[in-house]
Amino acid sequence: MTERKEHRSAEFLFFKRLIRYRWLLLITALAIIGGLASQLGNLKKNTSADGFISESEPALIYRKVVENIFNLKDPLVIAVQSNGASGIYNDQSLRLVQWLSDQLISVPNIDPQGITSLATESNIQGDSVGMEVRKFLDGSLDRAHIGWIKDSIENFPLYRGTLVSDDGSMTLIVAELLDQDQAEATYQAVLQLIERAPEKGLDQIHVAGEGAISGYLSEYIDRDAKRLNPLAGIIITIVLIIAFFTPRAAIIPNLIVAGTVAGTLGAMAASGADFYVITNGLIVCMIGIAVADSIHIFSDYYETLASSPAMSQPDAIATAMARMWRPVTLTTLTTAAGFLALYPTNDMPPLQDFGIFGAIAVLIAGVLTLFVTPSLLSFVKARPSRLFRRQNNLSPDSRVAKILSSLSLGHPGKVLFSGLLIAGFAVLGASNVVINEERIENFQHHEPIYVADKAINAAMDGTYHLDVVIETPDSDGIYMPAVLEQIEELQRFLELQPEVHGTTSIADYIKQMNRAVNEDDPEFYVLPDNKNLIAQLFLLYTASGDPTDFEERIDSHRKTALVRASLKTGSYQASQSLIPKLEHYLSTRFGGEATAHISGRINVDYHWIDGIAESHLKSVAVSFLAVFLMSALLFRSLVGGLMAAIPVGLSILVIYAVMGVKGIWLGVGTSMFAAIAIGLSVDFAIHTIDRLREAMSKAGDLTTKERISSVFASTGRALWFNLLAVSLGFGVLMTSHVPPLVNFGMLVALSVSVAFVASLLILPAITVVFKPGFLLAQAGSFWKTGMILLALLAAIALTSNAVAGEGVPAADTIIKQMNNRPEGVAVQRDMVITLTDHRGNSREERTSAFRRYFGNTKKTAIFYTHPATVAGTAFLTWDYENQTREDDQWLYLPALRKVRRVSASDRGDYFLGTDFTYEEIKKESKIAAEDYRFEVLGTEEVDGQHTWKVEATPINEEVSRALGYGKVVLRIDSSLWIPRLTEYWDVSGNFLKTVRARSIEKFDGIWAITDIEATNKKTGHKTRIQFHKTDYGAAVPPRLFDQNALKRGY
Amino acid sequence: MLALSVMSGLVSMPGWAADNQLSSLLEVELAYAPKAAGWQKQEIIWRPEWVTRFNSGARLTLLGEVRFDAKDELDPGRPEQPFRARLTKKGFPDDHAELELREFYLDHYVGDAFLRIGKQQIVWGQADGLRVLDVLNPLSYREFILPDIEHRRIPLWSALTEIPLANWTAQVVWIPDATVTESTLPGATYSLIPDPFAGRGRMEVDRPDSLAQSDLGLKLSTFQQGWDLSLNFLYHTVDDPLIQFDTAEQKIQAEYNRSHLFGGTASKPFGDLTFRSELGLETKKRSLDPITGNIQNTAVGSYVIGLDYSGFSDWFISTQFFQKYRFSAGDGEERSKEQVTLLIRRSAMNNALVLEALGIYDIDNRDSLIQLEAEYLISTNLVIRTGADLFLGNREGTFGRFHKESRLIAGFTLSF
Repeated sequence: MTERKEHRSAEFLFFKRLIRYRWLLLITALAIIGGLASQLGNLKKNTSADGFISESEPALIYRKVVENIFNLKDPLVIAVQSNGASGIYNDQSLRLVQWLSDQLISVPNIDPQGITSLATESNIQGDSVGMEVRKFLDGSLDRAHIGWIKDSIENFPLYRGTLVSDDGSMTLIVAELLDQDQAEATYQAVLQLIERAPEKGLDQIHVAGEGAISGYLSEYIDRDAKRLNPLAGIIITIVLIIAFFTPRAAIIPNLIVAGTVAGTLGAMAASGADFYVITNGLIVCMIGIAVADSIHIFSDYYETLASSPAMSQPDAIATAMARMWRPVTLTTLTTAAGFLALYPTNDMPPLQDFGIFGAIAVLIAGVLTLFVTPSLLSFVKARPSRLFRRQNNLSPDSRVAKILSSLSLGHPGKVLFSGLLIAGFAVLGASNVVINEERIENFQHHEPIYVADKAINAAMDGTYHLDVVIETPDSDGIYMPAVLEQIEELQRFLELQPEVHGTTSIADYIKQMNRAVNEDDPEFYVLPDNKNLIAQLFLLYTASGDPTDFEERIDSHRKTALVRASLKTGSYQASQSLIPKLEHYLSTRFGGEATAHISGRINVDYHWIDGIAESHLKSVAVSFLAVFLMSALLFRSLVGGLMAAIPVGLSILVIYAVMGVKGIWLGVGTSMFAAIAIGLSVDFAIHTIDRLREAMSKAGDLTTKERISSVFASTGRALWFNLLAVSLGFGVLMTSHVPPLVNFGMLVALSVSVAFVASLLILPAITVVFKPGFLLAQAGSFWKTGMILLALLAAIALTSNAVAGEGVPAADTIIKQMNNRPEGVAVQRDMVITLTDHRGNSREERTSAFRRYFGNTKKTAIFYTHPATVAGTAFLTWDYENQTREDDQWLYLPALRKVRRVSASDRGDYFLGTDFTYEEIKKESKIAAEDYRFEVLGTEEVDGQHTWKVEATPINEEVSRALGYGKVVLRIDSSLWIPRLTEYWDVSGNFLKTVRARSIEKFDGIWAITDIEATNKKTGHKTRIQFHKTDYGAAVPPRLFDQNALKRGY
Repeated sequence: MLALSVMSGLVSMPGWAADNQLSSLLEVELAYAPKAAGWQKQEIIWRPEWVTRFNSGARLTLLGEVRFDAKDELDPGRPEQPFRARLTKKGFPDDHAELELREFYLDHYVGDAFLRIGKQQIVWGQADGLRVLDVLNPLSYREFILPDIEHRRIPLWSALTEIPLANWTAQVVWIPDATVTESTLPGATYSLIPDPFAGRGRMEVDRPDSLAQSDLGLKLSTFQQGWDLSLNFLYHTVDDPLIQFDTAEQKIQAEYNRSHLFGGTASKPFGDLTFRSELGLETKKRSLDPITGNIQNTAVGSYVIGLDYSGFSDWFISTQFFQKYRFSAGDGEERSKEQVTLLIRRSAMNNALVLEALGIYDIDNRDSLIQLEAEYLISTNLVIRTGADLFLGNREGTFGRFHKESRLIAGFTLSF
């Protein structure tokens, strides 16, 4: 090693001055970090399973609505399994079921009304008065009674496979939880209860169920991560000790880690962001990132002291910092860009937060490393590391670097060819990656909950549920024989699907009741074809049974029913195959008297996991692009950017290949590895390129290979320890109890290892073969490079929607989301219409409005009630799904007492003197997508809410004239999918009017505008419509939408 | 009477009413006839409306009318109202004041069937102002055809039910109230009854008996392929009288006959145009041949074809052609009669200002009525209006005979 000369550069002087003001710096850093850390008490933990899903996800919103209607929760399932000859049909097993059912009532967080078991359920059978509803376990459990239970279950298809397994070996006790977030405590309480259970004999008891799994899983991961995070810290400290063998090099990086963790978590608390389960992974990342920069600084510091033993401590620190500030800044910016890419490319709040706060952590770590590390180091005397004195011996770490160096410098062509070959194979392997997610697979296979899940699903129809909600417009609509037949056919369809192992619905109960009143004749296990008879069956049931027995299958108004399919697995792959088929079936078979919608956890999971593949690709692409751009800008060279991207790209490809070959799913946990790995891997490339550039541009007569060799000797060592720190830090995760975390740790550790090897093999080889100009002190222009990159970005943006700005969805997607916004089957509301002219004179009109879907035809009736001069005026419109079919409209004018047919061709005419057109009144803040071309203009905050700004241009002049608009710009709320502000230009291009949603509220799970104002900019006239008494659950009778009804009033 | 007592019972039963709403219109209207050099009317009308909604879903509606006309030229004094059935008569506290229970009916759904019982207006047809099928309620000619038709129809005690039948709706109507078209008596401004006895004659109206000679009607309506269609049948008393004069006893006799009316309507929009049509066949109508003095019995067919155009924003243009054809006619009688109408309406200032011109032209007599009106909404509750009703053309014609009564009008409506 040659003696280092003091850098009397500006950087050197800067750090010398910095050390002089170290107290000021440290106090400032302490105050900032302390200030942020003081917020830690406000940090909210969010371990709920639904925390991963955006609150605006329609499937989640709908599921919550359905849960409210049918009082459904993800249940905890307790299975009693008896391996005796008679299965569970013995007094001991049945007594155990009774005991467990009784005791569960007193377990905190279990809904006493939500327990279903043989002890709570009743048989429906015929008797002398018609129907007897008798609880299975009522009375003494003698041989005759047990025989009756067995016969009853076998003759009651509804209970076979759902309550008792087909072979009679297992029965379930299903307990619903009051609070899903307490699932883990409840699970533990139930396990303790089972410990106390008397007379277990040969019986085995299992506890599983979606409620237990989804609730317990979060706690399970959280607990595991708490164990792993300190372990990562310890391992990294050991790496530091091995690398430098000095207390200062072990303590100072740990202080930087502590500051980074405290500052980042404090920032999370201050911003109100939740601490999710996966945020635990961020802590390991922070440890790795914060330590990596310190390793490079300490390496250079000790190298400086080794080469110049007489150098003063401040000079040695300043010399090291002057050399290292640049690569540290480069890696900080590129890693932050990699993390930040997670934010716009994901819909899941935890992943978005992971991206933002990961980037903040990187920045904090970078700033602390650059300013606090030299300040702290200056408090101790200059003392070289013993490891750096033995510079003539090849330590094991530099030996690795030497091997890599001899390979890349000796056979650069072969190295590059091998790299290409590996990339090719990796692409092949990556094509086998499977997207899947299954919560139960997050548990180790020996975990009792895993064993229980498998045992229960092997014996029963399944503990995973897919629900279909059948809605009819009228009370008792479900009693209609035609509707019940549709339900029965739907069940038949579902049961034909390989993923479905059983279904239940109210139709099963009705068939059983019909059979009971017909002397239990199996031929009468059919649906009666008479609505009144069906109603009578329910009446008869209430004579001896509890009328609330059906509340999970049918609502109290008998308008809505639930069809539940049981699946043995909750995997995404199963739902990916089933749900599209079911959606197609429902769209073709329902839509008349009854509509059908899919719900249930399986459906929710399907919809949000479905987006993982797309968001994953986006985050990788954006992250990769961000790293490339940042590197290119910082090296002022596109080639520099490409060189930085090559090891990163190769490492990611190799990881995909490993996933493909090993069968590791691309799921929630593994989906974010790539962005993180890119951010971490690029460090190796940056450090290597920076040192290569320094070595290649140094004056002297050295050959290229000699210059590169000096890089391996110094930086190779630092990179080696950098690799050790990061890979071992993440490698700790491989000791996790959670299989996906094991995979996650392994994949990140592997990717940084590949990046390390690729950086030290491929980058020198490229340098030897291609001799890139930017490495030879031919510094490019920052602005020129920036302009080229901008042009490149623009080209990418133009040719690919994938970039779509900063994570902005495609315009058509936004419009589709808006138009698919739920609006219920029917709604009733009162409207107060205030019309104000430019002088401020106003008049008020009141109406009662009704809207209801008849299949896909939307019918709206508006009755004017005030003032008396217009009262009685009524307007009816039938809006057909087929957009080529013109609407039908009728107007009733009291002065004529006649219902007049009115032309619907002038969609752009103003509705009865308001500033809203007929089209706008009819569409209810949606838009006819076929009339416009859309373009996303960006985002904008309206009333403090994030909105997508979308420009809509009529597809042709004819449509433009019909609508009265030449251009429309909408600001669509990105979580509610309601336009908050819309601007209109007339056909001549003049600004015409604005429509602003002044208030938006939620009713029955549906977001609706309750106050909207249109202002005509030309006339100054305003129309404000306030909606009152909005009721999506109201019984809106079909007769209101008949032409004759207009004159009758409502 | 039965319906009245049932309804009274309903209203008086405690705890039944769920919601009561009272609203009113106060109209002030002045009409000045320049040619006659006098005020035709200076009236104030109070129209209260009371609606009670019952918990059962039933709804009771009451519309009253109190009129005070300072001039008392349109229906002078306290007329005996020979054309009206007893329960349909107005009250005349003095020469200038009138009280009328305009409408009083109970609405209720029985299953999906709609039922309306009480004093009401039942309207058939698609034509505006021209009567082919809209003959269930007789008209009052107190002010000729100048007011809105809503105020010209005489509501009758009747029962109506509408029953949905698959894609059709059947309307069954029973009208026991035997009130007939009300013409003002000789001497009134718009009297349609000639008086050969110079005021010394006696009016004798041989009106059918209520209940015994009820009107019965059936309307089937449907919506098919974008068409609003209806088929109508009515067995009724033709409300327009056969006027005969008994010179010996100086009597003016009004007689009525029963008839069957068959008809139908069809309407559909075609782009900006809406087509409306109405066709009717009255099996028996009687008339007096002015030459021979013989009474002619004939079937009468009539139809209206209308086109509405709304292609220009804020404009509404509507035209109708009406033709009536007598299948047999006396020597002095016209076989057919044709009229055309044209309505042009322009709304402005977000419907605060509405300008309207309506013309009715009688092709045979070459006379016409033109009604011009401007209406402005000052505030939620106040509307002011002004206009003119002009009778033009042949002085013997349907409209021209009132040429002296062409008038200017002004007024306002207050709602509360």
